[in-house]
Amino acid sequence: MQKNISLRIKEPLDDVNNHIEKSKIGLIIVPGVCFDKNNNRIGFGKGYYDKFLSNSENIFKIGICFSEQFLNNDIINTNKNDVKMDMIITDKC
Amino acid sequence: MNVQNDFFELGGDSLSAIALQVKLAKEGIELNKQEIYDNSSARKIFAYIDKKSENTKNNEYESINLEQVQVKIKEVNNIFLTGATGFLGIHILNELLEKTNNNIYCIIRETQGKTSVQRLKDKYLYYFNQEIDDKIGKRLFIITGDLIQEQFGLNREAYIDLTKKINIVINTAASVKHYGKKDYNYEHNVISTKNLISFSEDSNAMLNHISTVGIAGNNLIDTNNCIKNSFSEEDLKIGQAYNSNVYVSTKLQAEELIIKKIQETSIKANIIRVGNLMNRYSDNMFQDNKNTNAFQNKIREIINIGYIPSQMQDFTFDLTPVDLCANAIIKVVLYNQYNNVYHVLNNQEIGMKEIKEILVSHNIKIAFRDNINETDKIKSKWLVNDFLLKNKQKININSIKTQKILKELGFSWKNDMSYYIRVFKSIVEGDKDELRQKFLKIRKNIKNKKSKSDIIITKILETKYYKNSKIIALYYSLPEEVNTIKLINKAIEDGKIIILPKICDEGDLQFYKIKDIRQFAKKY
Repeated sequence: MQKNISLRIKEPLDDVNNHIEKSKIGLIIVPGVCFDKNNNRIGFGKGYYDKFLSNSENIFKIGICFSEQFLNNDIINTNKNDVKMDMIITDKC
Repeated sequence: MNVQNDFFELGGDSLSAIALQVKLAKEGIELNKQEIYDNSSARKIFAYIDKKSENTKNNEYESINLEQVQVKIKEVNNIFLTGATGFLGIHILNELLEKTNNNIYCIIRETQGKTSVQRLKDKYLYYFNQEIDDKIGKRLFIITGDLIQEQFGLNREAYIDLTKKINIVINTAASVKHYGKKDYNYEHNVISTKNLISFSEDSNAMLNHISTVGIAGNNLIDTNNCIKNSFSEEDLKIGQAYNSNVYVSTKLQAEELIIKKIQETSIKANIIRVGNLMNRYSDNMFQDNKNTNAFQNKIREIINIGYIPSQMQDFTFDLTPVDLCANAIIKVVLYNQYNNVYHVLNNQEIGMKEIKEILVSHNIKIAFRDNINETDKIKSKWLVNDFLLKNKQKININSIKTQKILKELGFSWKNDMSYYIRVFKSIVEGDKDELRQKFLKIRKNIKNKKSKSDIIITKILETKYYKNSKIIALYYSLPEEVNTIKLINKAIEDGKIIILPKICDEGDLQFYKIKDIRQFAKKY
């Protein structure tokens, strides 16, 4: 692990031998600041996950957050660069 | 349907008006939305087209020649502020409250079942996140009235009482609808100005009228008839086809009324033309009705169609932060000289090419493209006006005189690229940034995160997607997030291949396999 303040504090070493292609991933657990009932996500504003997950229909995407971060009534405004989750899991739903 | 049927009465709306506009343009007939509103039956449209070339061209040239007067501005004034619930008005109110000792009298209508006081309280809370109650009745006074009524619809005593108190008027009230039936804009931009002129005469107050640099004509159908491509504080009519847009034509009429009264020496006044009002410099907040701003709507349409029409590549825009604009306005209002015209706008314009780069930096895929297809035109009602119109030259707004005075008064536009980056981020994201800030705060205060994280992990482990996946991408959680450490350990134990994200040099996310979380944790 090495320090990187831009997204995750702890990151794996970028050893080429350990690199995994996007096409091989079956499931991804995606963090978010909040989610809505249409499976839209608001991330941390850098667009890393949206960029990574574009054209990734093969990967099942589960967004996770605490129930307090789930928008029960509002819908997040999205544009075509935003990637929808396939499922949201919170401690309540 | 026959040639006399009204397009709008038949159910036409602004979207179908654009479709009609596009169809006509394909036939070589260029009409803007205003012209379709005003000539909403087929017969009227044909008759109008015949006369059009005569009508929109105009050869009116008029400059402004005023004699400035020196005045002694008092320490404490009684300022009559109109339009205080609007985006600019409420920022002027806040500047006056925060940075001066003046008393402020706001005239506000009762609408939508809300009292004038409640309307101002709601807006102030929305924009400044604090209550205004403690100021009401001390330095801030709210008058329920309507500017388009004679004597603002006040009873005689109340009106006379007001004329005795007030010595400065700031008129920010306006209808900013660019297209639509003429009467509404006429009432809210011209009649209200007439009533405020009468009030300024009755009270001997100095009138500060907020206008727009839009009267120069940059959003108009035809600027090729203009005798110059620069518009300074001394310019009024330079041949711009102002009749093609009710906002521009009514704002121009209001200025003419004031100029005439100044020349007759019956009032002292300033005309303050402001630029393209944008997000607050201090914290990037924008107006509550976000979808009414022409510039931001154009950018949203560009994002939506995925390219910038190359006709627009040399366009430049002034983006004027509303809070700095309000500050500059207060400075010229309280400046000891009257009968001036000011151009209060950020004079460092931003070009379409820079805008493109900023959008790309926000991960928007965008490029310049020559041909706009017809379906994209129909989706892009704000852009259509810019790229359908061929008879356009850019009119540069000259603000040298104003910038010099503002500099003397210690004001500067804090021009930095990071402001523009923030503005475009908010356009790209819509409400997202507000939601993000809100939920980051909420997340901080969530209780029992550990047990809640455990519930979430259990649920993930129960899904068939977990059970059926060999390679699973996870993330290493930060202290405030759903704790994923247990999940990582359990998945490794279950024989899954666990990969974690890393940002590579190009700013992309890449995933790498890990074998044992403790090993990494120790290293860290």
